[in-house]
Amino acid sequence: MLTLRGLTKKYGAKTAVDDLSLEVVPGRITGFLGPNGAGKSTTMRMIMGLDRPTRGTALVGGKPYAELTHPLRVVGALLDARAAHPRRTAHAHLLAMARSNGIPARRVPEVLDAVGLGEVAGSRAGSFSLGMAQRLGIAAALLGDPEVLLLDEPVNGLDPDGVLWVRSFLRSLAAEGRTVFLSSHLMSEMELTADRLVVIGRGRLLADGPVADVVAAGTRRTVRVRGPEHGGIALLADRLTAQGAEVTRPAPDELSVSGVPLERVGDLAHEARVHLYELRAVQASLEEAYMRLTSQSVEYAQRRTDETAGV
Amino acid sequence: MAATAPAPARPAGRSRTAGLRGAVAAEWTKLVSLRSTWYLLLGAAVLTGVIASAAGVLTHDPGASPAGPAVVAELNGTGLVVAALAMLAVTGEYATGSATTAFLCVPDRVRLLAAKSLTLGAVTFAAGLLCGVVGLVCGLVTLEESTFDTATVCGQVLGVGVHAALLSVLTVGLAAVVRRSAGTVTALFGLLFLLPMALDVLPGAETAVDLLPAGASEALLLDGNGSYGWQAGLALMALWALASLTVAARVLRRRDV
Repeated sequence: MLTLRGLTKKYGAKTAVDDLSLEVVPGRITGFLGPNGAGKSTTMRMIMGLDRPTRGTALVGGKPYAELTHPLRVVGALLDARAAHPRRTAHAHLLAMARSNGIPARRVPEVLDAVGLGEVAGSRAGSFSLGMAQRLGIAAALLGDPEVLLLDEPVNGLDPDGVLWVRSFLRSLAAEGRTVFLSSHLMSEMELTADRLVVIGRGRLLADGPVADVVAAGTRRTVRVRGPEHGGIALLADRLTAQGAEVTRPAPDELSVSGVPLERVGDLAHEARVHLYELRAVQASLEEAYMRLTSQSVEYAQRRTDETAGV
Repeated sequence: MAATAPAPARPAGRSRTAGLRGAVAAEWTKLVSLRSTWYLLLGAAVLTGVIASAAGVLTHDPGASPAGPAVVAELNGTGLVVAALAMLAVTGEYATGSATTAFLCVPDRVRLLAAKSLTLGAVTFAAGLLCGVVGLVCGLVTLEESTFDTATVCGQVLGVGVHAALLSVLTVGLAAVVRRSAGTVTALFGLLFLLPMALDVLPGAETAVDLLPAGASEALLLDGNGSYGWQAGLALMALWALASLTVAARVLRRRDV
């Protein structure tokens, strides 16, 4: 369980993270989504006690990270793939980490095998490809068998095989009841991996909820209507507009309707005796929702700047 | 809510020492798992041998202690090579990005600094003793005449170990503040060599010069520097190391990693 309350980080006049409050719950993968520079990494670094918040708190299982005696047993993190000394072997890197938190040394070969690095345990971390370094980072995060896992862009730079591996691996970890908090700037990745989404833009919370809700909140539901009679379609368009719906007609035989539910569109078509071939709700993609959410945040920030300048 | 209350926490003191023990073990593991550690220690021993032998050959004094050349070596190179080990244990982590890992494992900044100081202090003390023995052997071989007084020789070899350890701990603090190798080397040279030279030209600053780490080192290793004896030199070097760690602890607590 991760709890952020009013978390804020300012660098001089620039606000990187702005009054962020949220809870990350166990047993699910929570995606942390935002454009580059939105404040994702800064937020994660504050949770992990690396950067000090200007205001607010970040609690891991009810305590600030820095107050945990053996933090690796509570929360495992992958913040940067290159977090091992390049001239130290993978085994020595993990052994030092294990000793620092009173974790038995036998965990080291266990986690190395779990991420598929058992064969190269004796190789220097500097000789690893980016994909191997990411795996070593995930092994490090798993070392203390923690309840909470926090991963910053874990699939960055991985080949499709590696992406698939990380995805299924995180799924199995969440299924064990762990809290998984995962950042990415790739919404397609999030759509496939996450159960819940937290979207931030310019350091502000834009959306927080199940993936479907975030998509629904970010886009308007539309209904697509298609029929063989152009006259009938035009008549239906008039009736729908009269009902307060927003109607566009991308083709003579097609309507895109928003503002009224699908059932109402069907009823109206029936009443007007319009012949239909297709009547369906259009599933908005997360990508659309995300673009909409983040573009609003950019506009908002822009407007605020203008207001300040005007005062 | 008694049923859901967490188990009583262990006494803060105990958990702090438990954390420190692990942190020291981790620092030890990190130190011995880098090849550069062993190269530096070998380099320190070789340098000691060279300087001590040269000093032995050049000394013509029937009352000379055979460990005298070891002390000369410590003051003129060995100490700095050993301190480089302490510096790299800190700056090497910042340079490679593994500092993040260190702080994730031991988020309490003071505990991490304490663990580094304890580990490097112990390792450099042992390294200093070893170099002292190497210097002693070189002195015995190269001095044409000398007087072997067990108490003096033991004191000198021990002095080399203690001096190497205190200089290294001072360097740990300095490196933690500066974070980069080049900057740390510059700061260390400034403190050890440039500052005394600069103060030397000022009238009435002789006392201040004597109190600097270079003066304290001389007093500690050469049994007095003209102003005070080895005991005061030892205390002063310890104070410098402590001051360096105090500043480093303050900086680390305030600064983002």
